Amino acid sequence: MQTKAATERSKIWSVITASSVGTLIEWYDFYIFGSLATILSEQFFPKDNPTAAFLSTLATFAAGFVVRPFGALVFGRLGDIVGRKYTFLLTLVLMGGSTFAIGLIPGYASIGVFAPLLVLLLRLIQGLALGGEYGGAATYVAEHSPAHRRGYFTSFIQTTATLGLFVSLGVILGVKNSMGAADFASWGWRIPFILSIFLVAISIYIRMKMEESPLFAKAKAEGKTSSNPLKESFTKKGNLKMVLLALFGATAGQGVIWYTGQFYAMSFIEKNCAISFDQTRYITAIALIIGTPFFILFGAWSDKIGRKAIMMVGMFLAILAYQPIYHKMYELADIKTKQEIPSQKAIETQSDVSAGIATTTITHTYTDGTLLKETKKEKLNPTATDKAEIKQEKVLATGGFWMMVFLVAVQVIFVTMVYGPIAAFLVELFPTRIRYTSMSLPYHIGNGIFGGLTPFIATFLYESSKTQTNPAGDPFAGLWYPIGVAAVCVVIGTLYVSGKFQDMEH
Amino acid sequence: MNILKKLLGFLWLAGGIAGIGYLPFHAAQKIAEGKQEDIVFWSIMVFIFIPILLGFSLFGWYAIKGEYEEL
Repeated sequence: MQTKAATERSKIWSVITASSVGTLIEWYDFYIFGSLATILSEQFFPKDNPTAAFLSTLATFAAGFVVRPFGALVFGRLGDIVGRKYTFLLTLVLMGGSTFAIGLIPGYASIGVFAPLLVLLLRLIQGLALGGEYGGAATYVAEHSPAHRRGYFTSFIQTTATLGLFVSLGVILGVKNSMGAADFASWGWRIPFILSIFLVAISIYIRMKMEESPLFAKAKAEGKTSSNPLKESFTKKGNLKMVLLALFGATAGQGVIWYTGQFYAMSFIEKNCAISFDQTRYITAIALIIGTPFFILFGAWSDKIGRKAIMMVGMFLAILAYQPIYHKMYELADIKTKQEIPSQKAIETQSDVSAGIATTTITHTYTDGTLLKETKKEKLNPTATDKAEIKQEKVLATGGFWMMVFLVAVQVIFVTMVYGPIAAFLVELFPTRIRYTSMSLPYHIGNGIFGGLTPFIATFLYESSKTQTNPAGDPFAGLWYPIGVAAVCVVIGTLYVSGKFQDMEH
Repeated sequence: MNILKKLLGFLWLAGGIAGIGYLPFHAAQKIAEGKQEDIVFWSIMVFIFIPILLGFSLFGWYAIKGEYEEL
């Protein structure tokens, strides 16, 4: 008896490992693009309009999110007909291959408009693959898990998105620091993309050894699988109403909380607070590590008190806390509230006669230890190709740095409350025969579209808040998007979603 | 609670329909201004959010019809 229990335990951990490693790599592949958005915009889009280039990159980034629901439909259908195992092997190959290929595309300077077109095409394939991956992995783990520990076991899959982002930041920082900023911006950014092919090969090897999910295998043996999961999922009212409830009562709110806490926070620190590239990524990476164990905690806790309560409280706290948190983040980096030490002001000038550019760097030091580096590029002659520009970059002192880490970590903990139990919640809503399809679509509309577009919409709201009377704009305007979506989701989730545990053996 | 679910159903239905009416109109105005970032942004918004707003209206309709009463 004890041997059987030990075998079962070992089997579930093999299932979790195989599923989680592959899903983590897919998230890594997906997020290196976002983490390198600024550099990619310089490589693949016209240089004459930086805002257009950045928005174009975000649009390309967003395109990866927008196609995720289509991936959910294509691969969800396949997973409900052919099986979970082979479907999420296929998504892994597609994701790894397209990420690797992005690392090989020549820049806009070499092949012109083909560069952004190729990037867009590969980004679309990435989005399709991710749309098929997550639902398969979550379903696969859930269908192996005992009912009373489903939240706990599926929460390991939930850590993968955050860990994928963490690994992407770690690899980017590691590569950049090993070669220097100039080489990284020129060609080193390709390495994190190319590296993906090795990670994917390892994951494919692990997944090839896995067996089909027992619930799906049983349904297939009994001839109970669906011949048309799309029709059954979205044309039958009994199931469609649950798909809509999952979307508007859970995944839409979860999506905006996830992307605000982990992605928009990073974008806000770097662009609105003007903190340096490296320090922004260190802050985010440390906060992610602090927050990650809470996925497991809240997943396990949801097995005891239910999924709904934890998810709704997480969303509610985020709605209340976002404005004060972001005001504090902005204040930490605001030099108007700091006192400069004039004696420590340093000025350095360099001239590149061949490029026709003079660069002046002024470093200001403040009493709290914050450094502000102002870099001013000026044309020495009108024929110089580089543009004149002024850049500001701040480096926070230890106290400010750790306070910033704390503020991001709090947001990550909101993410873990909402995201930790959601895989178990979604798989329990739908029957085995159409589970992969039915849970994948609301997840990817919620997470991919509502969530994935958060940086895009928030940046747009911020840019739109700039007026003639207030040219700097309202740095907090972007927050109204996640707050609004999460508020509607909390009302719907609290009123309409059942707090009872659901049986999955159907 | 069931009455509240139904009443709010009217709000979701109306909100969805209002969004479907407003979004393309507003997007067309912005796109007509010809700024590159507006064209990208509003085209994506219309393409993505019209189907979602349709779904939101349907959710409201189901709520009004009492489809979520037993949950």
